[in-house]
Amino acid sequence: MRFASPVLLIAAGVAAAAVVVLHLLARRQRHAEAFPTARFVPRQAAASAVRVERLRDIRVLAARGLALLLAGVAAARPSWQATSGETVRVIVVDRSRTTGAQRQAVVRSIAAGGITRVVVFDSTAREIDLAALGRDTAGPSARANLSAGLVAGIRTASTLRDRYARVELHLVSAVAIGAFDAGTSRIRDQWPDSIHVHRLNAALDTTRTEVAVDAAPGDQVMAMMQLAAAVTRDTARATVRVQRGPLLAAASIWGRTGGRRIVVWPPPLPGSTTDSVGVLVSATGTVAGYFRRSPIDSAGVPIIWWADGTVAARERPNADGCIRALGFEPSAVGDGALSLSMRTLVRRLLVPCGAEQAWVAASDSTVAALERPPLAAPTIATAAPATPPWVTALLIGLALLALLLERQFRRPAPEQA
Amino acid sequence: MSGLAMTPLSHLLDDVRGLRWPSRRRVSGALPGVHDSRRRGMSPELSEFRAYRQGDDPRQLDWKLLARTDRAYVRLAEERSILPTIFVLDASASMDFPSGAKSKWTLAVTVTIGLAAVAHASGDPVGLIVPTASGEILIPPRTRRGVVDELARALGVVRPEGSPALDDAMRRTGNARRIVLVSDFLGREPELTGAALALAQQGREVCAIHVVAERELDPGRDTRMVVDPEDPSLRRPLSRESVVDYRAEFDAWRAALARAWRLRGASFTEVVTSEPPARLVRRIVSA
Repeated sequence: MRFASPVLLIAAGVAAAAVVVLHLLARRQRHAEAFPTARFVPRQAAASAVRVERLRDIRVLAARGLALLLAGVAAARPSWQATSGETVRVIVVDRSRTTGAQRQAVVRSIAAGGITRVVVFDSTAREIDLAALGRDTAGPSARANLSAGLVAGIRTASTLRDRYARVELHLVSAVAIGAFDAGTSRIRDQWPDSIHVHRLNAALDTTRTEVAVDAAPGDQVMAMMQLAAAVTRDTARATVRVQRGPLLAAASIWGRTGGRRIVVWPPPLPGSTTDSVGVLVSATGTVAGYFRRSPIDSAGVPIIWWADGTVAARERPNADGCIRALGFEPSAVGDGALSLSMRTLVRRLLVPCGAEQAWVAASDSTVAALERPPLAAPTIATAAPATPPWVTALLIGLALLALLLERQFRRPAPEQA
Repeated sequence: MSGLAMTPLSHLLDDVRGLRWPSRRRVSGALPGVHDSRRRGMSPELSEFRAYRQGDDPRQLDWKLLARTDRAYVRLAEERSILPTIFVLDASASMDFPSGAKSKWTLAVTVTIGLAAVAHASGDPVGLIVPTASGEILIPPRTRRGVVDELARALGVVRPEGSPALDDAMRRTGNARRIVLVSDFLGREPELTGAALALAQQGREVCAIHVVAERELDPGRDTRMVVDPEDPSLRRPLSRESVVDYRAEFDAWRAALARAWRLRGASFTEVVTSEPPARLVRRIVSA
């Protein structure tokens, strides 16, 4: 049996307990009434009167407690369905690029030997079979939307609560700050129990971004990269590779694993034009200066635009990594390439695949808040099935009957002649 | 007059105006009043002629009758006298029941004021003795105007509490010829009866007014513990089973009490708190 508002049931229980306590206190503190002619009351009636009064007290107390409990049960809106005694686990899996292949091992360890439902999410969420999890590669986005995953997971878990004795909700994610939005906290509160968070190590280590630049030492791109990140010659250590020229097969192979990024930044073609005043727009800001435009491949999603709306850079997936192709070249005249806004634009090119900004792990307290049950009762997702009207009517009728009995018990019996 | 509502008292005094409270026997007082006196005297109201005897006052001879009959007759007339009345009120804790405006004490005070007004209107001196836990209130019998108000003011400040001795107060009634005892007679009952007997033997008129609360007659059927306000050690459970025996015992006691006082020559009237005070006063003065 489930209750839509268990708080009301608890409140009724507390009220019934309070009635019992008050009853006992009142019995203990029952004061004697001043009665000048008390001497004419027979002595021998004492014991029998106390016995009768005690019995009547117990009946009145029982009727009061029963009325309160029945009213509480009716208000708590009970419902029941045949349930299995098993435990089912709903695993909400972050499939964004931040999680990597380790998520599959974690999910399998959670799901071992039990009934499991799997919900995968990045920017959107969907339910898949556990067997299909191995075939599910990481999504193109590096940003997971935790709200989307929680909504889908809680919805799945809520439908299972009526059929299973226990439903566990597990979250497998690296839990980045960017995964939270304004509604995440409220959505989490719709699940009344705790959420087991299995935190993965982020596949992308953005704290030590090392860039390998394939350019001449005097190239301005080399100078720009040196200002924005740590430049290394060791491509094995680098997570970003800047290719001045056409994309080579070796570089493409290098970039297929570990979320590596390849920035294809070819030098301008001889016939390319220079904008009088060019403006580049990205998620991180706007840069104005003298640029040369170059044509770029139409594959991939735009990440940088010219002010007139044409695409200046695109990103396309490359297995677990990605390739960013640029179609602009800062003017070699002047120091516009080294300006602060240009430095910000360059950092945009180094962020993890699918991300617009750098990946930052959520704090432990944020994760703990995600794990612990909400203080208030959920209102939407865990709403119980409706109580049959006849059950409510029966409970209210029984409560009224108990009240009538209480009145009857309180009323003194007719005096014997 | 704190503690007493003026308006009900005013209504009561209006209701009892014109009533007379005659003495139950001839009084022996010398001062002229409205009560029949044991004395025969010189008043214009002729009672009888008696043959002159040696020692009679010659001024009482009826000279016209002597001239017609040549026999000496003395003219005798009815004398009327005053009856000094003192009220002895029981201000014990048991009188403060039920608490509030319907208490026995309130009724006792109201009836006392009503009777005092009736007696005072007949020219009788009226006084008051109220033994209380904090001392005794004594107003000797007086006929002056305003003495009834004085009684009311004195009673207005009394709070019934404790168990003051009424029998001692009855022995200090001085030369009052009518002693009106207003009490519930709960406590020191033998001593009180003895004092009443002593007063009756002195030829005084003793008038007992027994104040009973309606709730004492019908205590209800709710089971509860009751305690005597004058004796906290007396605690008994009153239930609907025991209330029948209680009533029987209480009725028997009241009947025995009335019989005992009447046997000692006292008038005994039982008043219940539910009765209108004016009707009670009429009932008492006509008893």
